[in-house]
Amino acid sequence: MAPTGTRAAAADRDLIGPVRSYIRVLIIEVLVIAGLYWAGRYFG
Amino acid sequence: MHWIDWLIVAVYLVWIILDGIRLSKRTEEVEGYFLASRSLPWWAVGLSVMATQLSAITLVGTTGQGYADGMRFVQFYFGLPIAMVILSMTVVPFFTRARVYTAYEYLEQRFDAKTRALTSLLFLLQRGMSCGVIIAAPAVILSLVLGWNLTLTILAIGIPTIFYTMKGGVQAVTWADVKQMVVIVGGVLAAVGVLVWSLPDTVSVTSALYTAGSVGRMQAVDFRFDLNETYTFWSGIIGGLFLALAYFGCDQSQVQRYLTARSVNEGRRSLLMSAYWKIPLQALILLTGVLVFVFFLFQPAPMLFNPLHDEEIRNGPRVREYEDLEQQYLVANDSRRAAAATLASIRSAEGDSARTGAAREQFVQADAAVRAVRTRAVSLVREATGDQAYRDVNYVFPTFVIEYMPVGLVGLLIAAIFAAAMSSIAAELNSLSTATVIDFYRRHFRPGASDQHYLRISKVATAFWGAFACIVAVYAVNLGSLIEVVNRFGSFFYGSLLGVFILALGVRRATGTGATVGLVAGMSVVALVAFHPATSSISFLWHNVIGAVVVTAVGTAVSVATARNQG
Repeated sequence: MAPTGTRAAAADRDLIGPVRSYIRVLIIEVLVIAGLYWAGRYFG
Repeated sequence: MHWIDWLIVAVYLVWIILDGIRLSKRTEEVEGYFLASRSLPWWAVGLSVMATQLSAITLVGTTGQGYADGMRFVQFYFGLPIAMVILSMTVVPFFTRARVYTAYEYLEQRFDAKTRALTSLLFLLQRGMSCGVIIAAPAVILSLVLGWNLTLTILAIGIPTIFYTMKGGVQAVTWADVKQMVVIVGGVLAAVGVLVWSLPDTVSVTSALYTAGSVGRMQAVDFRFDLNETYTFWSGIIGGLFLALAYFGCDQSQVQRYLTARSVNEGRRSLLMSAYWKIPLQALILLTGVLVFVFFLFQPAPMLFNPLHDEEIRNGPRVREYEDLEQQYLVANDSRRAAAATLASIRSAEGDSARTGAAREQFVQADAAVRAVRTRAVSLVREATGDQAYRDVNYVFPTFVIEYMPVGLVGLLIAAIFAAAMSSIAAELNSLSTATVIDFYRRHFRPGASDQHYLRISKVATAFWGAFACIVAVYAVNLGSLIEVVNRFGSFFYGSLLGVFILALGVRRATGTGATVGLVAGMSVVALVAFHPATSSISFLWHNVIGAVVVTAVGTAVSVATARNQG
């Protein structure tokens, strides 16, 4: 099997998935909410 | 509308249908027709997930919310990114590895046939009705604003969508969704461009936002914990989390999107796309509404944007009262325009000075006067016509588009509203057909037939649900409260359905009987909370939390008790 296929199969067996992406999602969400909050304070 | 705008809308409709069908491959097999042979790239699936969620009423209603209430509605989506992370770790790998076509099929593998049948039936009832509402809501607005016949507008949205969904299955739906997202985002960005361009020379973007912010339009985050307040940080992050878990994890119209992905990981990436982009996109749409508010501070705006009962009022006994309000509105609007111009120019020149504070106070009072007149006008229309469902805010954005956008962009924005409606309807029709054929027809009536047979039935089912949705749409427009009934039914259903999936995935001892009893208990408790006078003011977002918790608790208790009795 080609390396890509092996990686894809390994990724499919991985139950949790890309933890780094999850952390990135949550950090970005906090930043976006902080930005919205700041905009409300700044323009309000 | 100019002929160029008509041409753009017509080209868009033809392009969506033909290209969607062209890109559909292997639709002669059941797996190809329903799940694109599990072969689609993550970015197409991700855009399809977003397009399905963004219906026309979201686009038009959200800009209206931005106009009337500011950015607060964005909090509704705060739980969504967390839900996407949880779903990526749970249902995406479970469903993909179980090789199921529907979310409810998984429940038979885990529990029994009756749990699958009951949840799938609830989905069909809820989605079948809501599909009609999704057609009706934009059709009412477009028909009034464009002067089209209402039934023809419903058919103009419904028929092309039914056609490409029938013909190309999930692949046509997904590739149409990709293009529709491009049209929607392009349309919104074009509207923002026009709105910024239209600001008076003396008003900068910053002072425009400051002007809107001085009457609360920029206030996006509210940390108060109040169960009766619909949109707060807490209702969004907790109630919104449960709603998003239920919608993206248990609703076939969304589950089917990521079941088409090439692999578990691509399914996860498609959901994470929404996790990254949903809040910024909704914030952009709300900001468009806020900018429309600023636009109408400096441009003449009608007292009421919804012209539905205008003629009836003008020919009725309360015409004098209505005309008085119009006079008051003109005076109040003129003084608000002057106050806004003063505030914006002083703020541009001096920043946060004492004079800015005084001008701000004057503007706040002038805006309150305009709001008061508009509120009285809406009440008068409701009283005079008996139409208690009469609303005005959903007409603000379409009125701006038709009357103030340049030729060409009007066509693009109308195409965007069509796109938003069609993308949601197509996904729903496709999932309704899948659940009908896979969960009922193939499971109970004709197991073991050929792929060609199931495909024929699927197309018939798509046409049936499409026709059903159009008929519901025709009736829904005449019965304003029906829309509310359908939405309420949705909120009874979603949290409870989520509870069943929590039992399936997270409670090892849960049984089919426990899940069924829990589901009935959850929906009953939510109905009680929604209708009991003491609790009816609790925001609907919390219904999802209540439903999920009750189903999980009752389902676990019943499962343990019945297992003990049997043991």
